[in-house]
Amino acid sequence: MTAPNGESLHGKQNPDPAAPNDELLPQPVGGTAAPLAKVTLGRIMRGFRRDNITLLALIFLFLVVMSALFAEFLAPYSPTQQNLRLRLMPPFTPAVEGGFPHLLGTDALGRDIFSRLIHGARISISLGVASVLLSGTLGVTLGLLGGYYRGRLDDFLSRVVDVQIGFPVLLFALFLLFVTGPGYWNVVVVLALARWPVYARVVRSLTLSYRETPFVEGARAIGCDDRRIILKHLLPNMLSPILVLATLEVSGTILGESGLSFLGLGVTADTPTWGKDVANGREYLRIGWWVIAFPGLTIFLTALSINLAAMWGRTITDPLGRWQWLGVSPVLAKAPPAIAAPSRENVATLTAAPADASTQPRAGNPPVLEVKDLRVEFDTPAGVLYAVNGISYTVEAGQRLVILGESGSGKTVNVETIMGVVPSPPARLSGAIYYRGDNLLTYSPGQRRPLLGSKIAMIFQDPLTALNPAFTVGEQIAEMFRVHQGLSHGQAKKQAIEMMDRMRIPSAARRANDYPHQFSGGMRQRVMIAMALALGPEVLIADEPTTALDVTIQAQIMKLLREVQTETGMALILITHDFGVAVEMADQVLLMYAGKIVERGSIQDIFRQTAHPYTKALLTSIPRADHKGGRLTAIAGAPPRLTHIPFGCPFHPRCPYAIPRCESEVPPLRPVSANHSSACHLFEEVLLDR
Amino acid sequence: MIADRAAASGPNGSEPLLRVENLVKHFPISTGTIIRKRIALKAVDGVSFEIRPGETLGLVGESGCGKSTVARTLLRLVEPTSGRALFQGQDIFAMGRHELRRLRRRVQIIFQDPYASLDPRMTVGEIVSEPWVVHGMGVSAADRLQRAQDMLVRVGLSASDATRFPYEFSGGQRQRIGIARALITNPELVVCDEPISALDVSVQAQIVNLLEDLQDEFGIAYLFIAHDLSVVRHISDRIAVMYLGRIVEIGDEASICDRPTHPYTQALLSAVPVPDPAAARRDERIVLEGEVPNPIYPPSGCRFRTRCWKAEQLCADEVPELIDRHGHGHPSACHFAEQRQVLPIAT
Amino acid sequence: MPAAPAQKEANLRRYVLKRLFQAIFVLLAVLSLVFIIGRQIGDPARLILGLEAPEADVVALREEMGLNDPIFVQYGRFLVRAVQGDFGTSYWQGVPTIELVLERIPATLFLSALAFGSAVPLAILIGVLAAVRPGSFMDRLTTVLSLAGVCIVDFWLALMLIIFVSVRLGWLPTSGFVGVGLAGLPFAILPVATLILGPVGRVAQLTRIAMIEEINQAYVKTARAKGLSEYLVLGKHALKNALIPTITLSGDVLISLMNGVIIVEFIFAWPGVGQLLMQAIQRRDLPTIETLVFTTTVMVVCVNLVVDMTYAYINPRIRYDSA
Repeated sequence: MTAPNGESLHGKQNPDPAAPNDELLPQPVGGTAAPLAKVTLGRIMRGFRRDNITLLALIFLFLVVMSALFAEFLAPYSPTQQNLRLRLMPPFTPAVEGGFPHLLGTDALGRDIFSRLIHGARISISLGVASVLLSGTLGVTLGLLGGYYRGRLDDFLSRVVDVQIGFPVLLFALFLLFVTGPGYWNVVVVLALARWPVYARVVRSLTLSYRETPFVEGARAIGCDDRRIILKHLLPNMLSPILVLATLEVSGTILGESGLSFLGLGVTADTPTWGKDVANGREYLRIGWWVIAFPGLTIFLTALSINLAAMWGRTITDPLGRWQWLGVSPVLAKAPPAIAAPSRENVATLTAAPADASTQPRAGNPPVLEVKDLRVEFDTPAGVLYAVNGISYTVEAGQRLVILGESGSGKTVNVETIMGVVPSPPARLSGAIYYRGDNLLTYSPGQRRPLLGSKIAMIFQDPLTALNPAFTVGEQIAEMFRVHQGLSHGQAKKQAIEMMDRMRIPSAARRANDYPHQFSGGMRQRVMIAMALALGPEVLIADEPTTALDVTIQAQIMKLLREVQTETGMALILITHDFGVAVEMADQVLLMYAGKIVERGSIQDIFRQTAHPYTKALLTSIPRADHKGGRLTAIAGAPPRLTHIPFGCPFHPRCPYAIPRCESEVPPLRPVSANHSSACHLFEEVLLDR
Repeated sequence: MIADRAAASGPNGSEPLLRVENLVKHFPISTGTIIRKRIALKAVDGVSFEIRPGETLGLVGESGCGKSTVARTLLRLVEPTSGRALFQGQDIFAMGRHELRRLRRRVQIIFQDPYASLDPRMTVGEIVSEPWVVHGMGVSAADRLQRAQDMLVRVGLSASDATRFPYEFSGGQRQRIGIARALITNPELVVCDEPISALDVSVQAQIVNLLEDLQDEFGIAYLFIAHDLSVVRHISDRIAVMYLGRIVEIGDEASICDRPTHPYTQALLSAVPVPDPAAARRDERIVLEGEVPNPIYPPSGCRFRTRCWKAEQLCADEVPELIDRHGHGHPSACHFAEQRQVLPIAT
Repeated sequence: MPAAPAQKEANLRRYVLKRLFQAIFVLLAVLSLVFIIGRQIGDPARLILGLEAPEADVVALREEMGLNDPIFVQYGRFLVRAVQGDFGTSYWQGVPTIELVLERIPATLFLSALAFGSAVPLAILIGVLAAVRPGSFMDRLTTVLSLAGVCIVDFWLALMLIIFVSVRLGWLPTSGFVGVGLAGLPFAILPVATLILGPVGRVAQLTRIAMIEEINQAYVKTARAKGLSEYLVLGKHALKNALIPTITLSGDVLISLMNGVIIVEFIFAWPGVGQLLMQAIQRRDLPTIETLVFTTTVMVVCVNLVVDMTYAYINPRIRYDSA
């Protein structure tokens, strides 16, 4: 076992720093976490400058809370001081005794509205917070216990919660207040009784989902008792949603209190409240709009500010959202991205591969499908994501091409681009995709549509999510015939059943009326294949069609795919991460890494004349069922993030052969023999090293 | 070499570390509106096996065969319906709270999903040292952190990673953290529930090698659960094949893979794609018809008979016992067990 | 695995039965609560006769009303009567309360139906348009509407509308009610406008979120790869799934309209059940309040039943046998 780059755990953690492949190996063997950006005051300031609405909301909230705390010192007048000479004065009326002007006017008894609003904040805020503390404590506790212990308590609780959430809050509160009579604490308790089910429901469902997660199971497995699991594992994880909810509830409670005050069932003391002030102005709405307008506006703005603050809270407690808000990428780039804005010389090297020199289609009899220097990039919060970085290949009729790669190698994005279904955010595309000599990338969606499904069809990895749960499978297959061939409903349905039958779905006529969730995984994939083959396409693209299936079902589906491919003579592009699947299906293999083709050739070439270190490493790193091998050769590190692809050859940080040139120069795809090429500067060496 | 050590471990070598006897787990499913009818999903239905100190038993089967439920009952994350699990002679299923707590220092688990199995609000140091905290081990917080850091270094991370949060790590690195947590109490048995199937292909071998190295160093026994026979064969000394809640065949790695006698094992092996063009054997491949029956209403007799090409009336009438009928050298739960070579001879 | 049609029907029947069973449980629970709370509030005989009535009359009335019977006898009698729709006589009007309530229902139904019928389709339309074109005017409108919807002070909005639309501009009557139907429409415009702002915001936002979520599902990719037009992809495939959560919320919206109705009827002098409730509270007319609470519960339960049935119909994935 000579593994040039395998992890050697027997060696101590501090190997000789002069060791030749030391710099190639990330230290330690497992690799370290990516470095993180820092939160700085400047970034926070800039964040607020971008998000000035939140800043305004926070300032307004600060002022309201200050008013509630220090009303006596802030208000220019006593809230109850009447002045019958200044009744119903409009805003900005100067004070008679030369005091502070009546900024917002006066009410029917000549009281200063501005001062009353400042004092009113005290009732609103304190009552809102008190009621939320009460309802939150009650709801969170009951929700946690119910969700964690289940059983009868939980049954009873969730029934009560369902009923109460369905019941109009105001009616509930009015009924209770009618019984208890109005008053500050009565309102606090009644509103808490009306709102606790909201927390109970949220916390219960969070608890239910968390208690099934492996990390809670793991906590139990290491011996944590219930108390520790609830306090150390469940609560901390639920804290930010609970806090956001509680903030929103403060605003709801303030609105509720103001409504009750307006209806005369709120706080009774003669302290001013915003709701009561609106009610007081009702009689004067024809002559003094301001008496109503300002208290109501204050309630609205307070509620609005709280909601905006809560939304902000939700953003910054989310790890990714926080960085987005701060306007920085969470992970610092270790190296400049290799393919940032394809520079001239980069493009030159990339396209230097023989026969790939231009993006013109091949003259003469064009192949069914030809991809030329295709590039796909996405803008993401973490920076530009380089999904596909200049790949070229052709597919002939009747050919079986397997595209092999790990997750993040760009293999799926590449074929989704052919189908025109690249995911959002909108991708940036360049290069060309020729179907029988016509460049699909220059087609409008409307021009491309008649080809999709009928000439080029695709099946997806997980048939459960790829089929629409709300329609019967018969309808989903029949749709192909109706849309592309204009068949009637009846004819299309008949054709659909025939297709299902051909794919050996038992009792197809009856099962056509079933929904996807009523099928097993293997049958669902047969439905997908029936749909894709309905119109006899020239190219079938199968994206990991068996990955979600069990191995015995996988064998069935592969057999079916091989049979229909031979029968119809269509071209098949199969995408997989499994070398075994590739061996069974492929004429030609493309091996992709970090959005590029690293090796291409027949399956025999790839196995017998391996000409790329990545291929070689993969082949010796996979265990086999047919014999028990020795120690596996592990590839150090992990595939690169597509936002930070290493400069030069993307594989060089993990490559045992790497030389300085690999870090600076992108290796072009060079021919090894006829129909076999490799993107490695040193493939001659790799070939020799058996 | 692992087998050597297991054999060489003297008188204890014959004494199993864990002996599971007739483990049954039925999940109740209730139906009915007013009067509740109770029916059972028979996830595990009479499973018995042994694990010896320091050896690896691979438990392989397709989704829904009950292999993960076996793992969870052994750690009492799920309560078994019946059966016994003797860990060094003590029945895990009969343990009280305190005994169970002690057991959890000695039996640990590694989960499949490295993203969901670490508490996102804890630092890596807290995660790895938590077993020590829970069991009151170590003299001080600093001491426990030191142990956690040593363990992190041991699994190929660095001591400074202890202050980081899980989301800063890649899938393979997270799985290393999970392994560090499982091993910090120095357990004798670690249950690995599909530990590599969520990882990138090029990272899987790192974790497999790490598990093997740690076994060599600490003499841990593994119950290695996976759906991928290739990986199971690579890492296991012995293999048990499960189908619909029962073990259909059990034996050492070579006899299961090279001389399988149960039709299901043969079909499973034959379905595994071998990554070697020389080993292409598409024509003689066994492709099973149909699908795994519903575990609420399993077939009578042999559970595999609905998909088996050998099935006869006897298979419906009589449950085949897991015994060595014809002197094949390992037990098989088939009335008509016979050896058949389904994998190509390796080149 | 495959469910035969007969079995599906049995599932559906079981589901409906179960829901009905739950509904009866809810009604019983609310009735008991009303009974218990009603008895806590004071001596009903004294409430009817007033504080000045001589003690002898009160005692006589107590005997006549059966208030001296054991509590469970009273409870049984209360239940039997409640089931028959008999909640006693209004202290204030002296007629059976159920008549008072039934008389008010058409006005409230008219208002709620107008509000619900305009809010939900409008909100779904806005939400879908917002989801299909992120960053567009509709998208921003949805965000603003949903924020305004949660923060709106309904009584204040109603009064401001009266001040500006009715008093200043004189376009619409300030308040009142002339009957159900076309002639009543001008009177209903401001109340409906007040009622729907919140629901439109909530439903539009939810539809937008649901629709965006569905658009990102794999089956939408399949639909596009099948060569379907965007109209079919979004309007048929995505929308049918996005409507599932919207339907659930619509039930909540219908119920939360009851909150608004109380305030709006109070302000616009709209003679519906909401106004009746405020009048009954002011006059401490317990039997009427109890009847209102109970009839509201019946309505809530019915709405939930309808929502559940629609949900079961539109969502084939629903697990009828879920506990």
